[in-house]
Amino acid sequence: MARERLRIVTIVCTLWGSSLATGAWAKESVDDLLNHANDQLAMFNWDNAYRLYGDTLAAAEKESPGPWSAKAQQAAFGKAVATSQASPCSAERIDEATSLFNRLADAQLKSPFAARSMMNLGRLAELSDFMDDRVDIESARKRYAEVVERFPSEPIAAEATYRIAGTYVQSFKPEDLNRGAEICQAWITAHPKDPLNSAMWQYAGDAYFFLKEYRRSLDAYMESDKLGWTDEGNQGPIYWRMAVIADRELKDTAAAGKFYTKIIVETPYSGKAYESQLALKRLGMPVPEIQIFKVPTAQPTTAPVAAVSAEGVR
Amino acid sequence: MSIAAHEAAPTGLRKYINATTIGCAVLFVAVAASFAQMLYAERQASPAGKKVIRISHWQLEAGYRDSLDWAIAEYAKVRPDVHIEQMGITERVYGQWLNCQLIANAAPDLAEMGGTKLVTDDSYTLRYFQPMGEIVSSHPNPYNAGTILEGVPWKETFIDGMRGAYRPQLLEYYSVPTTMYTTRIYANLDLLKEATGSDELPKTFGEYLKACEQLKSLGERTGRKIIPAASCYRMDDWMVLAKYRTGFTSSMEADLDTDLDGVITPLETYAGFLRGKFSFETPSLVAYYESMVAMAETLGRGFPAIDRQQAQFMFNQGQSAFLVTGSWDAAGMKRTFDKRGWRLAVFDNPMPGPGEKWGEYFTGASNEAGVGGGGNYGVYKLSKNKDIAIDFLQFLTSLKINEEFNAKALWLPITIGADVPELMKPFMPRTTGYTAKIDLKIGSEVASALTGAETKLFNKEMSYDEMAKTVEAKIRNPNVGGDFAASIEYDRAKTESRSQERVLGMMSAMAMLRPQADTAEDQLKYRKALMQHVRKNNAQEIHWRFETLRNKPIPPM
Repeated sequence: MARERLRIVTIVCTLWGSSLATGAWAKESVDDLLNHANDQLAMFNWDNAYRLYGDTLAAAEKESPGPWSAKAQQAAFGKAVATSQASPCSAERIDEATSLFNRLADAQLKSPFAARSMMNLGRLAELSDFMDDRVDIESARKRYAEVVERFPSEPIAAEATYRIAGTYVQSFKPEDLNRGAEICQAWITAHPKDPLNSAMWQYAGDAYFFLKEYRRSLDAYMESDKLGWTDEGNQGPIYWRMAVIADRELKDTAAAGKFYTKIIVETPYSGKAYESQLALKRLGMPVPEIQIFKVPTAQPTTAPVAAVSAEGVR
Repeated sequence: MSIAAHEAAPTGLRKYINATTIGCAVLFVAVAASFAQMLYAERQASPAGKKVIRISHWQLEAGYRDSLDWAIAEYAKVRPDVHIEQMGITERVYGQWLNCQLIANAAPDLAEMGGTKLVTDDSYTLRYFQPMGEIVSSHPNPYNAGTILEGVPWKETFIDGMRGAYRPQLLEYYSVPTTMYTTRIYANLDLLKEATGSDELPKTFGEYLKACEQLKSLGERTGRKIIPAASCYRMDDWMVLAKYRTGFTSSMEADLDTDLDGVITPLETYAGFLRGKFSFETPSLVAYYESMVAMAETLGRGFPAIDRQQAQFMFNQGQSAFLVTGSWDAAGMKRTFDKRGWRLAVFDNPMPGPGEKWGEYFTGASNEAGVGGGGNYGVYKLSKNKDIAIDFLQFLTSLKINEEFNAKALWLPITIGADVPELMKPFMPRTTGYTAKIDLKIGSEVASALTGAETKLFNKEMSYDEMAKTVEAKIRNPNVGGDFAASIEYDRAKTESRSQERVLGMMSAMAMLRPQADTAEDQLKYRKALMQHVRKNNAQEIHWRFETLRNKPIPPM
């Protein structure tokens, strides 16, 4: 009798142990799969990532049936991103991505991926990915507005607002250019400390530039300059635009002098330093020296990252 | 009786000496020798107990490999545990060779970046090469200790601030430059003196043409075959044409550069052309082409058929007094000139001076401030010794080593503070001058017609009027001209915008999928990429500008 009991206990223990081991293996396997999928996504291997996220999602759904678990949500989000970014794209891929993003965006799921999924739905609407894929600016704008409405205090709200402005500016109609600039400025006024404000000012400056409203354009760019350029190192061409606007269109000598000087001092690699020196001379202002390619030099130059001229690459 | 019956059967060892055994023996010795050789080569390549780093490049110009050998030997003194193997592959097959190595997951630890799409295309670069943004931006080069660059972040120790190595779409650095390239004219001072009576280099375009005339006369007088100048790359746009076109057309910038970014794009050139801002009768454009015909004349008739090797040969044989080429050829020239006891000099492309023919239309020289570093090496992502590969790059670009490495190769150093050899000083990038120039390569069809017509013009097979007529007809052709170029450019810009969307898609996804790895630096990068993308307006600016210009939508592809 005792032997029989021992046998039963042994069997139960073995089954329990096996079940634990299998569970641990399965858990590790989902994590591993997810990790591999993430690695592939980070390397733009969309098809591999799509396959691995698909496997992960299936495994996660099997592991925890019912509403999507945290891991299933990650896998679904990764799968949707991978399939929507793969090239060549197709209507089926976009439909699948849309379906996955929609499910993640569902308020009931309370997914941390909801906001980004909604943004991505907007992006899908704004892009044309295959033959006959119509750009739907109105839908895109609506999606971005939903993000701002549902997640007003999340950092993604600034990005959504920026994208809303973009949906207007890209039409290049005067009223839309104005609207785009106003959206940016309204955001900045309501969120004076937002990290995206410099980019918003710069975009407003672009919109006013296209409208040939040079004073407003220059003022907006100057706000960007004050906050620090988002695309630090590539502001050389913008400085040139600012200097020329001030010099040629607005006859604002002080502003022209300021930005010609900045070209020489801050972005000498832009190629416009010498012409800025000539302009400063013409304006009767102090002319700084160009401090690059000095041989030998005692001090390191600052190293702005600017697009290198094609002529410089062999 | 048979003949065989008269022959005695071999006995002892002799019975084994026959054609078969000799053949086998020779074969055995050959196989053994090849094995021994293979083992020896393998041992040489991978000395026992040492970590092996392979570095590949296509710089087979004189001096470069010796110079790199020197740097490798110096590195062995500080890292005796490392063996570096240099792999020089000819330029003609480097791309294909590297492709094979990358696809087979067997690429060298360090590869010069170029020659293949797998290196230049962002999506492949990302797959095969190690991103180095963090190490170049945040860490000093340890080999600069004790110099003026001690403690300075590695990136900022380069003359160009590593702009040439930056991949704007990926917002990352995937390679490190080791040198810098510019192009100039080499001169044989002895031949120049013989022809002109002076070894003073021409300072203006007029003086240059005069010297070329005198060189021609010398040839005629003495019966020697003298072609005043040779060009390694014919009338190449980068080396010759663009330099002069800038001087002759930069004054059009105010009229043509409508987006005020300081560059006249082909489409802006097209718009200016249609709006009548310039034509082939514009005096500065006529002057540009006249001066280039004169320049081509110095290269001799049939110059389009002369390639790099032939041009070098002509210069090294004293058949040409001038050679148009780049800084990378200096060591080879100097070696030959030293051997022959001739004097070698280098000077900048001479420009029309005030009072000279065409001088009134010439604004100034072209600016080279935007020149980026060259000789860029990337670290193979699957290398087992990435840390050592990066360490060697730090060593190679440290102040003293980069100075000596480039001095030995007679190349331009890239590290701030490095001395430049006297002969190489004229190669230092010009920081004065202009950047904007018209670009008549308005789409592939026009570009092809333009290049062909220009070659004929320079070779005197076509008159200027004929060339202008040919090119203008192409530009105005509704199917292959400027309108077509606009639709191509619109499509290209849309594709580029879509590619950047992928970068953004990946970045935003990774920030959510691996939040623990999402640093402040990554967030900054994301904002940067986002802003670049939004400002491109899905390429609609091209569409808008075209509609404004042509009063109709861009034609479909």
